[in-house]
Amino acid sequence: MKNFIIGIGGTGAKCLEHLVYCCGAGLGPSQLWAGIIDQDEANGNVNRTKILLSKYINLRNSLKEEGKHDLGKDSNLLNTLIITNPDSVWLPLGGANPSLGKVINYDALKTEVQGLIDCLYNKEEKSQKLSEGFRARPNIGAVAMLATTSNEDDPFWAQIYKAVELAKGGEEVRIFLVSSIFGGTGASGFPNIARRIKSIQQKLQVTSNLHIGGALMLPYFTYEVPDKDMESEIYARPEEFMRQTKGALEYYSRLFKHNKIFDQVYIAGWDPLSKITNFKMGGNLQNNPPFFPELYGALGALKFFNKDNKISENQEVLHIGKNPTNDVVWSDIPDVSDELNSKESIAQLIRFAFSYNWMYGPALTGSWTKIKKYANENWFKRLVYKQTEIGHENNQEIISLMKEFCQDILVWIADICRSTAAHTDQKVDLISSDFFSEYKPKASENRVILKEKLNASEKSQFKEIITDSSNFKLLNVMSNVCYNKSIKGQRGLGVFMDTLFRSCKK
Amino acid sequence: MNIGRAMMSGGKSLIVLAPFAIISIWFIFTLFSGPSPSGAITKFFITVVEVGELEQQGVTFSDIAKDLFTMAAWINIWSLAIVTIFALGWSFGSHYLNVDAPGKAKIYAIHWIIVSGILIGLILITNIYCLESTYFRASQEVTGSGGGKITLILTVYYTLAYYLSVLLGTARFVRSSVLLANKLPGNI
Repeated sequence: MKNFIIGIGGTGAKCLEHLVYCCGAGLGPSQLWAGIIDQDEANGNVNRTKILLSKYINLRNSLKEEGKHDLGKDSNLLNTLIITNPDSVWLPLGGANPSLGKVINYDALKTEVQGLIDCLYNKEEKSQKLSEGFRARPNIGAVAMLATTSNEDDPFWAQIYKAVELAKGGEEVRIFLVSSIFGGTGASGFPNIARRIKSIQQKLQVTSNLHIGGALMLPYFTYEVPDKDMESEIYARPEEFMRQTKGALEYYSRLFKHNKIFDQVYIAGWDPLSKITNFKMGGNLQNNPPFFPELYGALGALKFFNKDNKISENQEVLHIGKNPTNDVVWSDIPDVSDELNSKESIAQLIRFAFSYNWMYGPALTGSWTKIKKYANENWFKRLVYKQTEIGHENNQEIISLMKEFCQDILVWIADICRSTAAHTDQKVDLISSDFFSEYKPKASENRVILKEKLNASEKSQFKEIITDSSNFKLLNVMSNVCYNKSIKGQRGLGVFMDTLFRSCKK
Repeated sequence: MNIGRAMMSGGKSLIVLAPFAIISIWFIFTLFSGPSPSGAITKFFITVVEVGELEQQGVTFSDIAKDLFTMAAWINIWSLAIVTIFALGWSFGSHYLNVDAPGKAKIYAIHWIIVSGILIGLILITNIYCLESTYFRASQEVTGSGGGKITLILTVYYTLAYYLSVLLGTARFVRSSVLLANKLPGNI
């Protein structure tokens, strides 16, 4: 089975970010191609996901380097082979800062057609520069999406053609789109990209094996309207989200009634809305925090890709939401399948990230002179010393890559818990992060800062990091690392990394 | 939490302790069964008592031998009990020592030395109490050097049994705390 995921717009990119972490925890399929569509190329959220994807891919490749390192085929750590194009982001409108007027060649249109366009778009909308996205105007986004070509020469569309060809060849192919319903790029891209894939399918006369799924995010965040100077600007206005959503839902209701484009659609919503405190219109400064509902989008995608997910002939629309109280707890996270417990896997990844970042990573970093003081310890002898030359430059690079990835995991989960609940009555009770991080809600970058070192009392709070009263201590991790056996087929640093990951399982 | 592994450690510890305990128990039974005139044990005990002085008082070695053997048997019983408790206690308890960072196990070397010191102290106290007090009548017949010899032999024997037992029984992640234990191969 071949899987493809496309994150459309800022929300799509953020859902993809959650999905990458879930794949790191072993919740993903064995293979996945990932792409992002966003007109706002420099967008902070998109960039964050792009960087994360590249970190994941690099790290996984390093730990699967033939003859040197191997996590083993049964390891759940980074188990999904994620593939992207050299540039994972597809811009519907290339070129230097295009405007809607330029895209439709407004000046060259007949007067009566210009009149029609004038009825649909005001002057600002026509001249609005689109290099920072469609600013929550799906009417602009839809035109832009339809105005672009989707030929096989384009590296992004080449992947879609490849997917459809694979389905034609008899392989099962699943394509998943994820976006918000209320934004600009996402709202306009979601139905149009799906339709375009359908048209490619029809063009290539593929009637089976190709399934399209999607996740639509209903409004789940809001922000303070900026000062008066913004009045003439075009930007996503939170007060319009609900109205836009209503319109979009009515549209989808009609679409789904008459046209089967999607096999499964996951719809997630949130109430009360989370609050963004540092509104930015777009560009690299728009670096919104990861929010809990986006995890639903990611888990919806993973459920769709799961081999146990049997796709029926009928179009299915699945809804999800948290428990009715204002507390978000672990049981609000749905499982990917009967075999894949999301809570256990994510908790395991968090424990792994903590133990690696503050315990084992520092012990394995540096020259042999520094590291050799652990040479006689059981875990080191069995899992490191016998497997690889730890002080070697390449190994040190992998150790450092893993440390960075672990820090990203800790920042991600701490940011979800703090930012989803910030300035609302909600409480995201998934992890306890106060003892290892500092949170700055107003900051657009480095909202969560991890402590460099932890003292003994902070380390002892590891048992409370996952708020499920499991009482899993660092001592348990240290003990498990010494007793867990390596698995046949593992090599090099893969032996230690996977053993540590397994040791973090409750 | 680590109950399974702790039990396994206790098992390993017992396996190493077993040969020492078997010898010890055999010795205790032999001592309780009384002296044999030509036995090696009898010959040893003759060397630790003032046979000449006894004869001056009209007492032969065979008159006090049974009491002497009983005393030695009880010293062994208590020493074996102490060693078993300490070896199993350390092996089992090592799983609960709060090692939360690589290299931290070395700190527990201090704890191990203290535990080992207490064990040696208790063996010495047992010996000294039995050999120097009036609890056993036979203790007054043992010479100073003879008492020292018994104490030395038993202390070395039971300390060795304890050390080998904890060497194998200590939790893997705390091995650095036990002298030379971190030289053991990983999978033991």
